[in-house]
Amino acid sequence: MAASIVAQHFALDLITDKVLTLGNEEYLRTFNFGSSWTKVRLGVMCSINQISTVPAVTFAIGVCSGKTNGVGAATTTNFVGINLSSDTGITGTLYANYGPPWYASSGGLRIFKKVGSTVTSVGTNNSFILMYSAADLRYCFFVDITKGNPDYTLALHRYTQIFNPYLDTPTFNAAVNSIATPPVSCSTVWTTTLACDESAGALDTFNVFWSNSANWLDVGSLAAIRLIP
Amino acid sequence: MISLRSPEFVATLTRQIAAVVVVTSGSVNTDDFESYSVGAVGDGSSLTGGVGWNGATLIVSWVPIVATEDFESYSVGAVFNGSNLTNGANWNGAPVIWNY
Repeated sequence: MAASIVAQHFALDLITDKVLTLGNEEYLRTFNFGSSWTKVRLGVMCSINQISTVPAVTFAIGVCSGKTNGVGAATTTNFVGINLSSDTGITGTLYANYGPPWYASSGGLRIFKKVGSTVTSVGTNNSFILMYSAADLRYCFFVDITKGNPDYTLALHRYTQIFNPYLDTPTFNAAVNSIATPPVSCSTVWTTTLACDESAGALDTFNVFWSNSANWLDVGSLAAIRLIP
Repeated sequence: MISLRSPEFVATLTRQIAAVVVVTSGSVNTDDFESYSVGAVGDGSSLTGGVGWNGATLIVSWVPIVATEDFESYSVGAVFNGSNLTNGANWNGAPVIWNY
């Protein structure tokens, strides 16, 4: 499918927001501060346009080098980020469960880097991902990336209102602008480290990749915050 | 905002700075900013005046930069490679969307 702008209606709240749909597609946009950052926060407000299990999907949020060869490309210039659906590599199953419904990945989540076709990752099976689909529900994630030598620190924060999962734009924007850690209305899921560097390419671009074309990702808002220059 | 200049000098701006004077043994380093044009100074590399300094000023802004995109301003329809998604704040150019 081609990426599209669509109107997503939230019936319970009588709100219609425009969203970007991604189906086996990735979004890349370069920061105006380029790679001149020490700590950056990436925020995504989204939902899955699907109410049953999503097989074999990569849902990656991170930074990459330039807009030509992102994490979804066969050969990636340089990428560092987190995969919300992964069990071992960068692909996993998102199981739909009871509830609004919510989704849980088969193996937790992983932080990873990809240079060329080589993926190096660190994972956890203990962190549970919640994500909502259906017309009235959406969610948000924030990924903090702090450069180090050699270890980069990555942290995942998520929206905390798991029993009231409709997330409106003002709430997301309040989290974006709070600068706090974790952001307002969010809690920290997991923090860990991975040795990374920019020798393969300067990390200057926001990269979101959703690899499943049958079930697409609705992206309501994106934000990137340079927290430390 | 923090200004760094040799010899080592660190100041947090809570008020407008009218002048900078650093006294070290045997030398006095000064800059009163009178020789500069009014306007933003960016990274401070244009602030080369004053006496006794080693090179220009370096200014590092600690105010977070927030880049945002909410898609509300675009028309409904296919965006193909994303080149028409030029709105939002604090990005360098439009996005690129790759379809696999």
